[in-house]
Amino acid sequence: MATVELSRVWKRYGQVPVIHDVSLRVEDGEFMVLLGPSGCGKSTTLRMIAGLESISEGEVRIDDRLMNGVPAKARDIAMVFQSYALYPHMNVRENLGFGLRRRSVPREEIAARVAKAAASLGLEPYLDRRPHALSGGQRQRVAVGRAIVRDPKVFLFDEPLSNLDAALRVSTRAELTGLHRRLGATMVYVTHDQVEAMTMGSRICIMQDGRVAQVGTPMEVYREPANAFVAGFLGAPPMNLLSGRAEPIGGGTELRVGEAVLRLPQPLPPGSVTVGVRPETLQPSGEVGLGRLEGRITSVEQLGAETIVAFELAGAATVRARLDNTFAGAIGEAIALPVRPGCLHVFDPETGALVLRA
Amino acid sequence: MRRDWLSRGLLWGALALYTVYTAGPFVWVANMSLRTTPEIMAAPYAPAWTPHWWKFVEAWTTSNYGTYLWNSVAICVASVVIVTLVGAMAAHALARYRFRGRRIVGAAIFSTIIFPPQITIIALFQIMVEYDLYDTRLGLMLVYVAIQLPLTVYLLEAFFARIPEALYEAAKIDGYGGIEVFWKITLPVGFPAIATTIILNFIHLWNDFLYAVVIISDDNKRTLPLGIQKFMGDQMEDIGMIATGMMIAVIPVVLFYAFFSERLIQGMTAGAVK
Amino acid sequence: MDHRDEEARGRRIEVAAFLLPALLLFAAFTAYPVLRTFWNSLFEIRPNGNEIFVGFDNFREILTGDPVFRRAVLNTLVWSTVEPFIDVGLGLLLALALYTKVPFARFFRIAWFTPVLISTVVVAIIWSWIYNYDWGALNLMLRAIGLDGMTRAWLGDPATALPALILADSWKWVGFNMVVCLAALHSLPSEVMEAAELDNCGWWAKLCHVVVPMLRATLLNLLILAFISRMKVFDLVWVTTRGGPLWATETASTYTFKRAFEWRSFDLGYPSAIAVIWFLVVIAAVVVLTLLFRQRDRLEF
Repeated sequence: MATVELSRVWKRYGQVPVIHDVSLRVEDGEFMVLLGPSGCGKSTTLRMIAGLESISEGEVRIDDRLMNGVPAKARDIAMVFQSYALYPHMNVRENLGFGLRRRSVPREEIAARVAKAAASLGLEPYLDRRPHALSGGQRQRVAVGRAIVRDPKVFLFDEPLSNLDAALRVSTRAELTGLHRRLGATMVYVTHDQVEAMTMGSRICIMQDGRVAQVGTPMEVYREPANAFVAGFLGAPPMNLLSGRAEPIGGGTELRVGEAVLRLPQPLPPGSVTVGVRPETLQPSGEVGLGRLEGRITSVEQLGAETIVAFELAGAATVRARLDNTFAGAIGEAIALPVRPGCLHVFDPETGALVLRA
Repeated sequence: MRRDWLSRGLLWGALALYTVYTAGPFVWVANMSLRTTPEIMAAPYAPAWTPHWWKFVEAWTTSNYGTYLWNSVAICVASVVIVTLVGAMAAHALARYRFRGRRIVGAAIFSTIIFPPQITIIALFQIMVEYDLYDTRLGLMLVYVAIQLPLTVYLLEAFFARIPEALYEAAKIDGYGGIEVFWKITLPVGFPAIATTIILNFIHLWNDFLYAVVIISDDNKRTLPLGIQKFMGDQMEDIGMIATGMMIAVIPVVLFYAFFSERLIQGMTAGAVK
Repeated sequence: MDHRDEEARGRRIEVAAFLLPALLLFAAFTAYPVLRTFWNSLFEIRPNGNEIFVGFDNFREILTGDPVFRRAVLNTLVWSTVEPFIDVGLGLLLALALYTKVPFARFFRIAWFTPVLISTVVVAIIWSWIYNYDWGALNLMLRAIGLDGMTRAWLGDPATALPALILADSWKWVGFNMVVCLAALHSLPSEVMEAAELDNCGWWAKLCHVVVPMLRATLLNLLILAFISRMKVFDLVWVTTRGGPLWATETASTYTFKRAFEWRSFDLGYPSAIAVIWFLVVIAAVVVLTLLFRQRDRLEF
């Protein structure tokens, strides 16, 4: 059991920095998800923890021990690769035991640990098969099993589900969560899939352009995004981000978004802002809330359990709302939805940083 | 429909004829290898009604073919083992490490694949004489390793470079270092390519004549091609015995071919297809 | 920082360890001999170790005063331009025949490929017997069909020796080209061949307009490869004719070998100069051919 701590970590290729001053602490037994679009530096960060990439600046500690310069094999970590990286010339049993053999674990103990891991993952019938004779899901489980038998301080996962088909991904997600609960081990998990992040993570670290955008529990980062990037990255459909203007009125503020006007009790300096509203918070009701978003419906997507409605906000962009399946509006009809208090996010249009939540 | 049958029949006939052209000479030599020279001179194309199997025994004992075969086997096997190992190590370094001068080293080695042999052979002769390697099996073996090395490195490097990097990273995390991953990952995973180069090198060296004729002169150190050639050009060609010797040189290759025909064809053509 | 230097040093040591055996062998038995041959070519080298510097005299002599060398070059060029077309052309036709799924295709393929695996020395002996005046298969067949007038000692007649050897060499190599062409054919999308089938064009038109253009890269490769290999031809000539009769089959390789090891001239400098010239010719040919065809490819795409 262990903690992982990155403090002020940089990674440069030549002069080009790809990781900027990343600091992150993963607590003992935590399931930390590194989430972000491709190229955001999440895999590089993971590989620096693993010891597969050198650290240009800053410190990586596992269990409070400085890891800079400690080779991968001495870090007591295990990694599950996106491609699984199973040794093609070894059968499942040998694949599982390969890392233990190197660590001169007694033969009987290797056998016992392999058997135990195989049992827990349902791999017993395949122990004598080579990887090419396994299905994608089985290979993925062997890759996980290879990590489990090592009983490492930290498990690292690099997009381990992205090569599976959709149905298998859902069930494997649950298996991995169960595994984490059972083992209680520290895990760092890289993905670009927000559903994986939301369902599996104890906490999520969202990365953007080599920087940490926000760290928090899934609901924290969802409800209280620290900036417009996080707000726009999470949620399907994502948060509506509309450009508007703030004008102080009395003790409060008037936000003009196209022709819509929202009134906030809090004061804001005058100027342009980005206004964020989650689609599911826009629900038809008699109340006015902070103000109404009005426009003509441009599309209606009926998903069965719910209906996604898009409408053209007069004088501004398209807004999406997530309504229940009883909604009966049609394309071209007018719609007016109130913005509920507590569900409005105001971001700085330049930096994207959160200015106010109202 | 009739025309179709006719043309297919004609095509098949032509192919059968071509097969006689390629295989006929073998059958003929195999036949002669079981007949004595006087029998052959009397009727060169008569079948061996009474096959003289003892000719192989005699070739072995009195005509020195046993020694030639042993020399061929020993020199080829040793050369192939060394060139495979040395070549695989170099290919591993070129494929898996990024280091300064990598491209130059690769280009220098690979460019010599197209060099004509005479650009080295006279100097090789001099070197062999100067270092007492002339007329030794060791000298011939070293030359064999050197001439097959560039193509071996070339073919293996191309294959090793396609082994996924993640495999090596997994091994690194599993605790395996530089030399171990070569034995435990590169060699076993690269086995198909290694088998191909082993076959290619073996056939080339088994059949080599030029380097052997320059470096070997002692009858007891001759390889099979040299041994057979020795009997040619005499005033009285002992055709029957030459044919027997030819079969001794051909049979191992044909046996090998019978068991591994696909892999052998693949190996022989490996250098040609990009 | 120290550990990183240490790691880098460890990697350098690993690279060196992996490369060293190959580089040593390469330096000792390839690079050094090549350089030494260049050096040798400027000397007259006597067996007692006497080396007399002669500058470019060897080259002058070879290029201006050596009719045998000129003959050898001519023979080699004829050989290496004619045979590739026989080898590749016949190889392609045979591959197409197998591609159309004739019965026993597998047997044919294996039978046709066998000569490729056979030592050239064996091939040479077989064919010197086939060409024998008295009992060779070729003359026997000619006599059997009443063409006694055409019989001859095929390898003993300066007019026929070279073509006879080219035929013997192609007997060995057609199978190789056939197998490569067949592999290339199988890697073509089968729709192309089926489409040509539906267009119902004749097989010759199909060959010229579909197969050859699609296999262009492979065929060019094979032609260049065959050309270069024929520039080096030695074994077949040495075992059968030793360059005779009357230099009719002398090649650059056999002549170099002769001047170095056979003639009792005991001068290794002169043959080294021949080797250098021929080396430059081969390299130039390779460079020109590659540039030529690469240029064409770039224009087309």
